[in-house]
Amino acid sequence: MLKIALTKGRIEKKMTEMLEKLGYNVESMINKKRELQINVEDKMIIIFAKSNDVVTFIEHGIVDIGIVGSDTLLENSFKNYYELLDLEIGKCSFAVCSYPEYKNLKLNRRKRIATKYPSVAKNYFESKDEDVEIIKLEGSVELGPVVGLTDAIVDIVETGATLKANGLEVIEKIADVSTRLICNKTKFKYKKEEILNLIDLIEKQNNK
Amino acid sequence: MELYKFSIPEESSGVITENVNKLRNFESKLRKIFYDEKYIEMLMPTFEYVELYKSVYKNLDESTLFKYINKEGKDVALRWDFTVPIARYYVSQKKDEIKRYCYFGKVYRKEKEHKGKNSEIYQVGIELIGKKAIEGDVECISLLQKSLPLFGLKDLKIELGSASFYNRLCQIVGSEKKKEFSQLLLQKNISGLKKFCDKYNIDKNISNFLISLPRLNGNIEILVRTIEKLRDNELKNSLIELKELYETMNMKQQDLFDLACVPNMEYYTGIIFKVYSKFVEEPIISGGRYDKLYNNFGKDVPAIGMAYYMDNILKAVERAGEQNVKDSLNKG
Repeated sequence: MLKIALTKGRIEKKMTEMLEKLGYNVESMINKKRELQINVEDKMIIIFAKSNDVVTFIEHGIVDIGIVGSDTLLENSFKNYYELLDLEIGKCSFAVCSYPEYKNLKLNRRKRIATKYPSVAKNYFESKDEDVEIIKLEGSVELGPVVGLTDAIVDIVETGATLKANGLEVIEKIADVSTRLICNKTKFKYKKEEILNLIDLIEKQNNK
Repeated sequence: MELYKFSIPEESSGVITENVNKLRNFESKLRKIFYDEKYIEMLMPTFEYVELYKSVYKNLDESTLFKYINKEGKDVALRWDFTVPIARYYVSQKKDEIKRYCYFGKVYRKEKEHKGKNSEIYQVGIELIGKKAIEGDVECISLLQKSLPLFGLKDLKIELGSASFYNRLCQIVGSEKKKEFSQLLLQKNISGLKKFCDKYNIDKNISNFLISLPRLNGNIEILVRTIEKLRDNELKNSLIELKELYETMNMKQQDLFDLACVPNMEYYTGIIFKVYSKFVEEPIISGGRYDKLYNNFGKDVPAIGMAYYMDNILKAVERAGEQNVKDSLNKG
């Protein structure tokens, strides 16, 4: 039996669809209500967690497999896992976003950037030979420029609808983001067949 | 200030009470095994120059060091590993002889906060200096095999990898792509390797093999099958070496080979091995051959060594015990 930690929300939805396409009976996932841990056909136990917690559970070997966005993996300092597969779902991108006039902005001070991903933001501006002040926000990062706290944001953009609704736009794309299947290294040694079977199934489906 | 009278710093590993006797028991049994094979115990200093580590570990993440500036104005760190200071000591003795050293002590590596990780890591280990591949490898692995039963853990797996196999792979891929390739291989990133091969237009035969590497982590059958298929002599020979070691050492069916093994230290040259228990998320023992480490101190000496991560071993033993209790309750 495989133990899987699945990122709640958008990724959960896409993954449920994918598992259904692969032929799993996902009723228990759809009807889970407030349950945090459910069983799929006695083949997998799925735990629903926030993205960074998925990585923590992998780190401690609590689960065999984690389904998590590459945005989280890029930001998280823990790297000691196998990143077996790009599931090619939940695709979006990292971008610098602000008001259109940001492009022509000349400042006599450091730019201020709001983000949930401080190290991604820092590395990006470093690669542009720029030093910025980073302010970490936990909720809607778009609020940064909207309330006048920051000049721009670094965040993931899927449809851009929230940006548009607030007069913001993508200034520059930083990197592509998609959902990855990661695996605890020790668990791989003990459950390789099961894990690779799942991977074969997914690869076959994705190559169709 | 009455605050923090009872809590301990985030870096501390906490007080151990319950399993101290178990730990001391493992320690003394390991010591006996090492002493019987003429390993000399060393007590190593707790403080080392940061320079020492930086000169060997070119990619050392300095944020993992506990360091301060001493009276000389130099960066000093708490001992980060044993292998490098012991190498320095051996070379400073200026004698060309085979030496066997063992050590028991803590290394200090800063971990992220609030992730349930320890920054004090208790290691027991050996260094076998001056003995070349095969002969030295056999001595080290047989010492390992002799020591494993004393922990009473079932389902242990020894995993073998080869730094020479990895180095040849990097050569084939091209040294300018080595970093990118190593990162993908280390993470067994199947999709990433596919994109990598597409991006650089790598020959179909080679790319198929590269993409299959993450799956080539298993028992002797996988190794034999791969040896049969390989055309490149250097790759083939490095795997044949592993196979011969497996046979010489009478290793077991459950033991593993990892063909996507990437040396975690830059100085590895030959075999690399790890021991896994299903009860802990990290290896309980790791080691390997590093014939180039001593070059850092201006000497050409072959060496092999291994370290036992005592905290992980204790954790495994504890959890295996809990599992036994659970199982017997279920049966009853």
